[in-house]
Amino acid sequence: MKNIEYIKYLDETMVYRVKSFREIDENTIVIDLAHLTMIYDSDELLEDGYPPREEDGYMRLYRMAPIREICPTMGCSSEEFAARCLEESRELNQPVMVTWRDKENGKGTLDWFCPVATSEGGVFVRDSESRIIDSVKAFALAFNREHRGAWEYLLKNGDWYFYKENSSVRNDLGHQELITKLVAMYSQIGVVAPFLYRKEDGTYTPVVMNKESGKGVLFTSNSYNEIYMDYKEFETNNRMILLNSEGTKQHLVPDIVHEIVGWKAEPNRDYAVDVEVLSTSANKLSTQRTYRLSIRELIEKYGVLDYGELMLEGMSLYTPKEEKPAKISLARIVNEIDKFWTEKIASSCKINEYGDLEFINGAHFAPTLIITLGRVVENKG
Amino acid sequence: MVALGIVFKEEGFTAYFDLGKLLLFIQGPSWKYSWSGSFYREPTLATPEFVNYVLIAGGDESRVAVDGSEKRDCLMWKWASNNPLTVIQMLPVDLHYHAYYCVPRYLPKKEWELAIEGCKMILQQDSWEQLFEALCKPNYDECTIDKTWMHLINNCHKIEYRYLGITVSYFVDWVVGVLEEEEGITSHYIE
Repeated sequence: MKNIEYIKYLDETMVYRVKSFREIDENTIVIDLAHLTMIYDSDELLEDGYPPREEDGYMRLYRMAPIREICPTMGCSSEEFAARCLEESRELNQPVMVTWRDKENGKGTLDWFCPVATSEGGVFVRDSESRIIDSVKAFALAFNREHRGAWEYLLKNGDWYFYKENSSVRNDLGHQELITKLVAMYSQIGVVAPFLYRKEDGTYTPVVMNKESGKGVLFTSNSYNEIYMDYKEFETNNRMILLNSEGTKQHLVPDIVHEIVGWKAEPNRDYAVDVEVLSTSANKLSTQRTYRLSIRELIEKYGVLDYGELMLEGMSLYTPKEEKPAKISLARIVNEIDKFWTEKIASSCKINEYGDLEFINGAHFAPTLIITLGRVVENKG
Repeated sequence: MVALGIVFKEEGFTAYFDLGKLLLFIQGPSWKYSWSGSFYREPTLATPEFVNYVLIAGGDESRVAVDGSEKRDCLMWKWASNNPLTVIQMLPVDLHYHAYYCVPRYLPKKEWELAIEGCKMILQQDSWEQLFEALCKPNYDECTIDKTWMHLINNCHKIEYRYLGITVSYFVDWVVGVLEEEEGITSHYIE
């Protein structure tokens, strides 16, 4: 696609408007764009077939000749050009992105690369993958804990998928199955650190890797916040940039994680279950507490809420961003509570292979949920 | 008033005019009344307007003819939630389970046996708790996944149990009746 056709393509999308452009040479064009957002209180349709939109941000995009080791027009390596883009981004106070013609498969694409600052300057990372760098750092922290509870916190922050070994088929493992698989992988890979890994085309992608063996996990992502993990044995002579842990969202992997060690059902006390939870910190110190989970109280409190409605609100564009996690979290509680309960079911539970408290009606409560919903009745710590 | 009834001079022909949908139904002598508030039997009604689930006697997977020429016996109903039809839709038989669930699906007689056995169990009990004891007790550990009686009970237990009888009984009678003559039943989902 020629540069002028690409400009037209961008202008015809729903979310971008071309403000101006200038050709640097026959290979490279720089385009200033406005990002558009829908005006929700309008139900009319414009001539372009889209609803009315307003500009809510601006950015600059370089579209360049097919990628090579040296950015052709700029006469510098892609790392040097990334550093220049970062500087330009600071000056303009808006994002600066890059796209290469050979990544378009003959069609236009909105799959862009953004410069990421490193200790030596900058590198280009696919935009969707640059947004998961913090998650990858947190992943490394959780992975090194080798503790199921650490994953419990981490994995709810996104949809994570694992590719089947040596294939591009994604494995739709359930949350708990994924946790079990990753804990098992620790014994195969060992301690990892987060890196940016240089691909053949000169762009980078986030990985976690054991520095000695080169074994690790490669991450890819898309605009739907789905994160794909792929087990790899990396060539350690390829250029790797260690990601420092500054800026890691530590709260994703808290110091204290939990593990259930036992339970005692109290069917005569309104379907109550006393659950002994072993709280294990990263350095393996532990305290022991018993939480009372009253199914009856939970049914009364949450049984009237609608799971589907809550999930919808949690994902809706209309729900304020800060309220979404609470809605989704509540939906998960309702999903467990909104099952068939009898005294016998409430007193027939077990700790399943994933470490959750599971009842015979299929309801299962992760340790996090138990300490959130239960109240402490005994503290031996 | 929701409809006007019409009786034609010619014997055996009646009609009604649905005032809500502005549709005129002319019911000739061959019209197959279901005599049920939940199910349909008349093949000309096999359109998304009236039904989503269609069961057809036998293994012929062709679509139901809606021009009046259909000879196969059908049982049809509209998708429903929170009423006894939900129980029928959730029976642990792979009625419409397919990656492309709109494709016809033939299930042989033995595949229906678990569903029919369970349906008969539903009719013998008086409450969801009794049903749970009867259907789920022998294999508690296996009752926590989809396509089981536990899954059905988890999803349908808010339906008043006493309303289940008529719907389930009608369904069982039709399926058992068909399986006396045929080796299986084909299901369609239309939308």
